[in-house]
Amino acid sequence: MRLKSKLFIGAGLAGLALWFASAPRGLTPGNWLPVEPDLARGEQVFNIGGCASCHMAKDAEGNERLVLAGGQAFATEFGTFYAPNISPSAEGIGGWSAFDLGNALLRGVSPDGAHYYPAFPYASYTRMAPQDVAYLKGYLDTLPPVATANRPHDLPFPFNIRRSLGFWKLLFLKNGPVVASDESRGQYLVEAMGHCAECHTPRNLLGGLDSARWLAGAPNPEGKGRVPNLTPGGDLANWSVDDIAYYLESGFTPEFDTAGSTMVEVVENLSQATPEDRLAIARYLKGLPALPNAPKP
Amino acid sequence: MNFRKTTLTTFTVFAVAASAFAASHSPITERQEAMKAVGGQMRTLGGMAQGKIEYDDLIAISALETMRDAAATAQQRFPEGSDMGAETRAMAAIWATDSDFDARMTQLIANLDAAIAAEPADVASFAPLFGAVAGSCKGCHEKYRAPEE
Repeated sequence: MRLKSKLFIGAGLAGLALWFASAPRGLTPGNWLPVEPDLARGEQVFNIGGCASCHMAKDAEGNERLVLAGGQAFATEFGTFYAPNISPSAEGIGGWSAFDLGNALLRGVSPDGAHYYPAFPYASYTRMAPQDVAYLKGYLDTLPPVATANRPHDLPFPFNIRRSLGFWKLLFLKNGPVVASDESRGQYLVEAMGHCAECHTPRNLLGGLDSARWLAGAPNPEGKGRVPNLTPGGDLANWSVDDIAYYLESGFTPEFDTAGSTMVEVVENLSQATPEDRLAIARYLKGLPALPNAPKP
Repeated sequence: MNFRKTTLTTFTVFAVAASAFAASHSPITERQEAMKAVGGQMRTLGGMAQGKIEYDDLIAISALETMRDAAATAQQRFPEGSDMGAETRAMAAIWATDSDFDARMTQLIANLDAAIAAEPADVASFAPLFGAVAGSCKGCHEKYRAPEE
């Protein structure tokens, strides 16, 4: 065989391997357990998961926070993402089953089998329990339907190739616990549902979370300043469990300064969680490996 | 040292002194002092509302009065254009034509007046009054204070 055709076959095989490696991998329908609807639990998942913060209109208040037509823009170093419509309409996710929502949240895969971009924090949601996804779907179906078409993301090459996210997922989509913790509920709320690490953990060049610096603070993706270090070695070193829980409920620090930036929205959501869940989050954070703040750039 | 140099030195000394005086009496530093005073009282009042400190109506009312005076002072210390000149997180939106900043400050003072006038005797009657005051602080910070650098 001539060298040229050997190379040709080699490249073809490599291409085929890459194509399979990058394929979207959804859940298998068999491991999906349907549950009895429970709207109260669904609402808890909705609030702790913070769905409204990204999918409502920017700065919406009161009942407008439940209108999930999408459209908010998120400018990142990879391009600008636009939150999709997740209201129960034809343009939103009205036609989806709980299984479809599970594929989106736990695997980052759409009902037509394409990868979602990880601006949608499925790298955290992947640790969620399937029954919580099913409760959430039941609750989302009770919200007002809106017929707003989704705006396509505005991404430059090569980030506009969705298939390439298959490789990103091979590297960064992991569903085990990140750190050892005695506080299992708090761990679940922080690492999975609340997706705190998406902002509070620094990312590497490929946009994956740096688990060696878990929750130790990060540059602010929206510009100035930095997102606080939540480990006992950083900004919260002198906060008690009660201080953290009170902050998550009220937005007041122990110094009675107020939450700022996007944390305002998070507090709005968590103020509706149960006191036990806020305490569980606080206990998990107090038990984290203490890491110092990153040096100022 | 020649005359010109002496004059220049004298002038520099005066200029430095004058700018130091201006800085310590600028609206920015004055309102920051007022906000710190408010924060100190809030720690006492918040501690009582959370049940961390035993509720004492005399201490609570006096803390509310201190806050009221500091809030009234702060309201006067946001002249147009004072979003620069010294380190400040005050946003230019405060002075925009559609700003409700002044109305929010007035509401904060009204909430403090109402809490003082009610003379809450126990923590149950104090907590909602405190909640209204705290809500005013928070609402205004969310809208008109830039994130920390």
